[in-house]
Amino acid sequence: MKHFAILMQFLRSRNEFIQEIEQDINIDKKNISLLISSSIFFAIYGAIMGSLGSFLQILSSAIKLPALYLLTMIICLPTLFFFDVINGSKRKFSHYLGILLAAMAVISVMLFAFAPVSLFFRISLNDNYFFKLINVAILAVTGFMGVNFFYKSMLTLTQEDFQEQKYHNRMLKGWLLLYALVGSQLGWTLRPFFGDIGKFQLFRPIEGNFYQAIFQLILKALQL
Amino acid sequence: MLADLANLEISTKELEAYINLDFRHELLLDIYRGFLLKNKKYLGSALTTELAMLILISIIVLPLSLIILGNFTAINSNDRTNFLIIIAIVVCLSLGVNIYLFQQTYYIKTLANLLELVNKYNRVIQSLKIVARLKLTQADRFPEEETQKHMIEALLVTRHSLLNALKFESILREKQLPSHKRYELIINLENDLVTLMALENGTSAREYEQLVDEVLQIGLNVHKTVKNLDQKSD
Repeated sequence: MKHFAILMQFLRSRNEFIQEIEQDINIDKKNISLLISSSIFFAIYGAIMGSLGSFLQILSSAIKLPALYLLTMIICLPTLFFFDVINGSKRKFSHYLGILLAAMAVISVMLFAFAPVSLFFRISLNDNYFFKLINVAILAVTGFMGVNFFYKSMLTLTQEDFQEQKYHNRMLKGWLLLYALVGSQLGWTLRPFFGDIGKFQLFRPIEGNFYQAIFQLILKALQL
Repeated sequence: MLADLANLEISTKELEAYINLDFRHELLLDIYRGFLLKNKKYLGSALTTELAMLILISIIVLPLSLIILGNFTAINSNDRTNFLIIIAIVVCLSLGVNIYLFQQTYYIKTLANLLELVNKYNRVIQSLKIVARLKLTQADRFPEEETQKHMIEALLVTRHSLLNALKFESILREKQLPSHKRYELIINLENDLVTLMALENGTSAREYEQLVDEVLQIGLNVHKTVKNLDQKSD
């Protein structure tokens, strides 16, 4: 099976790909190929993120990063699907899954594209606060790109299903907010992704929240 | 001749339409062709899927372990040991999945063999294209029209056999074959083989002899594979 060929086909002609999902053309194969290729890309980027710590930290982060994205998807997808179905959507669950996996694929490919940059800062800097901050920025940028793709694709997919498109748009934006909240909290629960230099830690005790930690990280990076 | 050859090739799209595979069967095919037939092209694909499977199993095990470790921190608070236990569970699960998949490859053996024959057939077409191009540059030594006709006919018959065999296998796999249809397909294949053997005797040009032999071998193998499949499914 040519998982990466399917991914490249999707990246090159996204509109055609969405149309094929809409028409149920090889939808299962496409979903599985997107799942496989994005898991591998997430794992590669996760391994770079964990490279501050020991070998076990690299391995653990390579599992945790794909877990973060895929678990967020598993947690949030049923909410979107059933909300839409109740409001008149005629699409199948596999259509929603396909679009969300395609968005994951966009994020994973962009992370893979940023991997050499992240690796460069890992090797050339001795400041682990800056390394963490630059990775958070990369994750935010790629996440925004993926979410933007998902939002536009969902509007295309469901444009004929809803009479009041404005209401659906608002609902979709609300779901994206929920997705961001679940994702960031899950990320906080699964930490550490970076770890400390040369050390290994599987999970940290659950305390505080993601936004508080980012604020503290910025203060430390600016040495305030 | 080159235009005829281009139409004779069995394309991937055509194959997909004939064999109609789902993800499980494609994975089994990759494993069988990659690991057992040692075909490098499919080995890469099988290894990628294996790696992704390992990651996906880890993703399932990780949250469960988070819950268990959160509830039973008193059992073992050493992160290194906990993580190694998780890795061991993941490896055991993936080993179990792999043993199951290797056992399942038994059911796609015939299809894999037929697909290898399709590859061989396409390779013969490629060789013929090269020979035909070479002949175009040497106009005085162009093969006789009769030989060309024989060759194209042999390829057509082999193509027909291969596609019929693939259809036969696909229908048997999906268990939707009425007995009269099955009989009809077998008769078609037998006829193709007879035609192919007659064509082999009619080819005289030396440069084509070897390629016709290869085509005949493909035809014979298709026939043998389908006969075996038919006996197994009785």
